[in-house]
Amino acid sequence: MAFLFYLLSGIALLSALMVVLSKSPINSVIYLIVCFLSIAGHYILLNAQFLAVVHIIVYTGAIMVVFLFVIMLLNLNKTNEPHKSVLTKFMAVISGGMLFLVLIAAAKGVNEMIVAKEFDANIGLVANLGKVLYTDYMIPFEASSVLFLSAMIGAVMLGKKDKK
Amino acid sequence: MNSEYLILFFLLGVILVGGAIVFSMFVAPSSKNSAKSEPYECGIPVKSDAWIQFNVGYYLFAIIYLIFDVETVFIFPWGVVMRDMGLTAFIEILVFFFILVLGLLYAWKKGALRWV
Amino acid sequence: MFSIITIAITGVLLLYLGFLKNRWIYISVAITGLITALALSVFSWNSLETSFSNMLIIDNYAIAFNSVMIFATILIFLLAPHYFKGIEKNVPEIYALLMFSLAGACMVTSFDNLTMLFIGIETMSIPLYILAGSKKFSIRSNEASFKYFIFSSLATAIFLLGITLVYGMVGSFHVGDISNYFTITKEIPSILKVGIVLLVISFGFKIAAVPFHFWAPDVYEGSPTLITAFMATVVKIAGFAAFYKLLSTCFILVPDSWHHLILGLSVLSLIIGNLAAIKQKDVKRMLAYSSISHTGFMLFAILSFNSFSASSLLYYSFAYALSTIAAFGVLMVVKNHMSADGSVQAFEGLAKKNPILAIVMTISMLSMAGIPITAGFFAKYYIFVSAIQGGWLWIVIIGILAALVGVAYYLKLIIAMFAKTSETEKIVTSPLYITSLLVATVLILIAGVLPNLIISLI
Repeated sequence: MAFLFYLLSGIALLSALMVVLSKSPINSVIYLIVCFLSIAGHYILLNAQFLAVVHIIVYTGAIMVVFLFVIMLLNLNKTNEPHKSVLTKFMAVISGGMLFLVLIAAAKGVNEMIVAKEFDANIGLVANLGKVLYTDYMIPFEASSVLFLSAMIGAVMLGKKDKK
Repeated sequence: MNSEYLILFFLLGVILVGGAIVFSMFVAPSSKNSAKSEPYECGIPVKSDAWIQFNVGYYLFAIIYLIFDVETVFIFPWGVVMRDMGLTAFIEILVFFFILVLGLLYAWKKGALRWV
Repeated sequence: MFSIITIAITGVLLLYLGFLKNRWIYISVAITGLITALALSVFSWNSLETSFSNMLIIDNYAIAFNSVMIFATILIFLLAPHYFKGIEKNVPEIYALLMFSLAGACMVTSFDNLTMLFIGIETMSIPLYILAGSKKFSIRSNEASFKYFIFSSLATAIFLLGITLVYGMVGSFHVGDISNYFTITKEIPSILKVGIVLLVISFGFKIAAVPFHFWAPDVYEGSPTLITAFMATVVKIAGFAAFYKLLSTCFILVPDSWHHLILGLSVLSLIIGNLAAIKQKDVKRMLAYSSISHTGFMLFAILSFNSFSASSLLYYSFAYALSTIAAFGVLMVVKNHMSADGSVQAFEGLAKKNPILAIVMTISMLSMAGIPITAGFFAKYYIFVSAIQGGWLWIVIIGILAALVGVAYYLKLIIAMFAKTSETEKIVTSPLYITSLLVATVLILIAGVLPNLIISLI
């Protein structure tokens, strides 16, 4: 188990790095798919098979398709990417590195701490998820439908071609 | 089923498929020429770059598809616990469904589903 | 709860009434829905609602802020028909999205669970990304929408990471459980503190506090002015109400973690907001920076938790919302009518031919500057009193200095309207428009004379 965890984490980290580093946006999307797949593997390790499948269907399936469409829509050619100055890159590295250091320093002592709740191995199963979703999380669930509705209106409003 | 087996199964799939590809790379005879690296080997000359600007309609459809994709994610757990939860969960999912169908009807009436 | 449902249903109704293509039908439905929601909200005063599996808690605090936000939206909707005159495309959609955003804002103020807070913030923000870009053929509007989306979704990602870290240590999303955890646990793990800091940072983005303010001037300038008025009032008030509630209920017992951050945000917002506002030529940008400096003042309430700070925050929100709507209302017609770029020059000599608009603008500017007998004076006074009671005397001195600097640029506009004479013509507005502006102005004065009406509520 531990080996699988480290393997999947390594793949996830490497592919996430490649998303940022690769020159072509299409390659970034492909690496992002790899990253999502390895995260789905993490869900399976946590015994949350439903989440893993949903993650693959929604993220690697649908959302990546939208990503590709948007990239093709924007017609991003390799030549017109604006040049970033050395100073910007330097500042970005410094600030990102500082955040990284703080998070690492804060996470260092976590292993020795008492965990607030014991991990329930069945918590990720679809039946438990359904029970919690339709009792305790009823209001956020219904509120999310309003969220989807406004997203849909927005897509129609902004995406539909108007006659000027 | 234990999840280790599932992952093992997944890895096995990757190794078998990847192995087959690598194996054929070594075994199969190969000859390279410039005609073979063209997208259509059968003779249609390539006109332009594959990077063309897509119609915005694709994006619109993808977004609407995405929303209903997420909806199925919500409906699946409901289907599993439907017997235990009874009427309340049924009404909840109906309200959810109703609001999203309103959105679809709106998009339809607006003509967003028509391919221009 | 019923008021939130009413708002959402009105939004859906508006969406479909749009097919009738009669703008008076949808504006009247919108106003009726909002007034119903306001009435439902006000009538549930003192009746505590908590029975939603601990997701929402609609107490007097939430009702008071919700009522202010719904009222501000009514005023904005009264301005809308004139603003959208001649524009037929997508107007009902814009109204519906404003409704959905308001429903989200009402959820944000009354959360009792961090999941609900997250869903509320998203329901509030996603319509706004669309609304900011609703002028489809204006490049500035597209830029505003894109910038707002990028910054805001980054803030949301930071917010989620913060929630995750808090959940990982506490084991619950529920506000009561989190505050219990801090009463029991004496030694707080550092990763939890990082989580709290991340939450503070994400709220800093949402309320546009320096140094997380970079999106605000561009987004405020690029968005359609009506949407800017909504963003600067309702969204900001919702953000503050949620921020105050989150820190005061969940994390008040955490020693020495976020106070310094709030202190820094507040002082920087005061200094940079005011200094940058002086240099602006464009009135909309000036109002954006002045809104950043108001963020600095409102953060005083969060800095000094005592029995008085919630009501001083409420009063400040009310005064700020009224004066902002009045100011943007006048700006909208001046900018449209003079076909000007909305710089200070466009306001020159406004008082000659359009005395009502000039008086409305003057009172709103005086209120923003904090001159007596306007609501802005008591807003600043109460928030300073609350800070002094909390033992933050030196920051009050900075606040007073900042307010003095603020007077300079607000006066610049007033002087331009009254003293300078240049050729202007009479601006024709609709009766609804003038009603909205006058209601806002009269309420600024009433709240300025009788501050106890609001300050004694919560």
